[in-house]
Amino acid sequence: MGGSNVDSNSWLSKGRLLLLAASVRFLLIVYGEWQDAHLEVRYTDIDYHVFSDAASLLARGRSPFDRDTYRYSPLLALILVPNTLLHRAWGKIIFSLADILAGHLIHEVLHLQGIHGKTRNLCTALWLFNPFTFTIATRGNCEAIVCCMILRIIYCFLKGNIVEAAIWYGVVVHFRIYPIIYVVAFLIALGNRSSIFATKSRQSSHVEETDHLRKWQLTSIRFFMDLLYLNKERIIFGVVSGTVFFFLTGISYSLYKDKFLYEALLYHLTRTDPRHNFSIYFYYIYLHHGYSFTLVERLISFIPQFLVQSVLTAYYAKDIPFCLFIQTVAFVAFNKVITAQYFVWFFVLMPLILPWTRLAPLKGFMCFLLWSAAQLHWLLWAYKLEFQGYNVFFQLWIASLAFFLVNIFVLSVIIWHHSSPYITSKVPLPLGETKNTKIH
Amino acid sequence: MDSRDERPEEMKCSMCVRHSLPKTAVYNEGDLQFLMSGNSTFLSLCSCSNLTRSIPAFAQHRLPDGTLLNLCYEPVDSFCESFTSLESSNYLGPEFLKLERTLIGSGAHRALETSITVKHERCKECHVMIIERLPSGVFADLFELEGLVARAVYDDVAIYGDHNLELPALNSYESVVVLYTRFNFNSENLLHTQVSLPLHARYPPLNLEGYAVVDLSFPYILVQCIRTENSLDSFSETLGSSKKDMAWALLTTKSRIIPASELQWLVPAGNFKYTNVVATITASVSLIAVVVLWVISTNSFHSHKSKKI
Repeated sequence: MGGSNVDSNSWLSKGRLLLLAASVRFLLIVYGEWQDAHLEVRYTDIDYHVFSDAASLLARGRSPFDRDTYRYSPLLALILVPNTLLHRAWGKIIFSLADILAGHLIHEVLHLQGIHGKTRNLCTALWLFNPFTFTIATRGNCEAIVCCMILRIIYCFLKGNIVEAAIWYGVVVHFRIYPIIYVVAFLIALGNRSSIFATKSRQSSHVEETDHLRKWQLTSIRFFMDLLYLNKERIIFGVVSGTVFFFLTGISYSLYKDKFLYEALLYHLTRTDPRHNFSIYFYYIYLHHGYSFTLVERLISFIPQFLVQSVLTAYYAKDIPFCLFIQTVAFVAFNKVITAQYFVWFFVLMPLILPWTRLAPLKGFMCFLLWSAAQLHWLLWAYKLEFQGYNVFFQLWIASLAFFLVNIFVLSVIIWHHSSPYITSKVPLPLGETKNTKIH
Repeated sequence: MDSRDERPEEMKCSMCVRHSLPKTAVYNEGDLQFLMSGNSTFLSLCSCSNLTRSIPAFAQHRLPDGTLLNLCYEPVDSFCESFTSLESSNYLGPEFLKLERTLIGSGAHRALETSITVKHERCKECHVMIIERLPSGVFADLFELEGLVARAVYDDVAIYGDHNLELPALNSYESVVVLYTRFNFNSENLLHTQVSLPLHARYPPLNLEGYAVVDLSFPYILVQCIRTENSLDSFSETLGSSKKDMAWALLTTKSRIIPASELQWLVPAGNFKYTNVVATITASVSLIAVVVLWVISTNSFHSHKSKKI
């Protein structure tokens, strides 16, 4: 880690990476337009047409929720109004630019974490040239916008700009809901700076530090006391983000009433799709779809998710980039519905944790191959079911269990090999060096 | 055609290829007849026989030429007097030659293809309207059909009823698809067209057999021909309308009974005998995973604290 400053003359410089990434995306957008016009199989994602139709309705003064299956914030439809006024590829250009912006933000966050040189550029390239990433953006998927907001929040946290972080957090939760899982982590990270994490690791010897940490681990009551303590940063973050969220949601509700409430918010909170997807719960939900779930049955999917989020947050909240990454991986794995686009949520955070891993590159690659193989195995059974018409529900469910277990295994490996800079490193903690906070 | 009662052996095999059910229905001259509409601007496809209550229209569709179509979902076993058979020697309407109905593809996404050939003299322009009544087990994607219209594959498309893409069959209802397009001219008097309707299967209710059968019924097929200006218009004269009227002809069986099950689509269905096993294992695996992550996180946290950098 560390090393020389960014070498702008290197072939791997940030400027060249961003330019090359933008070129790839531009070419794919052009190709996508050609494929849509000439081939039966469309390049463009079906969701993009949903967004565009909703934007078209909005441009005509109607509700975007008149479009079937539009389940996003009206903000997205507003952003895509030029699809109707200028060109239908406007949205893809915006999403691809957001993709590039995410690469830039990754580069900046790594700088704040003290990562420079080739490592920093390589990690940025991992996002910019991930085939999954640039494919979904150029196909018209809007996740890149969410990724940019999450990265900006992390950036603001590391700079100590709590107000801006809170504003973006309010916006992103309104936009996509799932980032609500990060709220406890953010509040812990904004905890009392006189806590042992921020101070003892700077001032104490290594032996004292270990001793204090062990005692802290044994005292869970102290953990909850720290969590409930309302310092200035927590109050600011909560009030600002809550205000922004309720402001945007309130405006949307006043314009589009219950249909907005259900389609953009409640649907995501209560979604139980019986159709096959990567989740281990899909077959369970299908087998129960003929009757309503009892409270116990609903808790089967809620309790594991709640517990795993609590555990990961409790241990790693002080290391915000890593905590968000493992929380997201776990959230996706334990979710009742999993589609491939959810993977982007943690792909964008992976470059931020890689410089801190002790996992050997070969082992890391093996983990990636194992994860990909489990996914491919599931896809093969899904193909037999959906496109060949064989009854392989049970086999597909076993494949989803296998994919889930691989996710847990890979997540465990990543956790085990992570070296948190906020617990073990002697590198100065960026959280303590901001204009808005004091070092206690 | 195989009847449903002849399939139990194959349906016990969960990995067998589902190709035994009839996927093609062929009708030749003599199997079907045309009935003429007495009104060229209004068509009603609702039952009004003395034996059944008149079922009110649940949707109305206006065609590009202005014709108003009354749609009733309920299967029609007889027609209102709005359609009459014409056995007059002066009949110069379309003459039915061949109809072929095929369910193409496999799996949950297929196409229902209708190929129709008629004969009509001195026809300037002919349209065909196919009205498919879809059960709750399948649906047509409105967006997909509108794309076909945008690419000029069809002149008009509409879906009435339940066209929800996501709900399983148990929580869904029937729908009606109206497709309006033109005939191609094969030779001077022969008209042929091939209409392909993309369909998608919904998740069926659970059963023990492993597959659910979705019955696709015989559609309403209506043909409309605009005759050349110099032709004898005895066809229109028969109906008492002017030379410019474009009467619709409804294709139906000789008995006027619309088959409720013409083609059948086997859709994989979940087996409710696995309910408890799946629930138990799913819950157990997820809880074990939580414990594993808890242990890993705890040990990792302790382990890293004891290491020097």
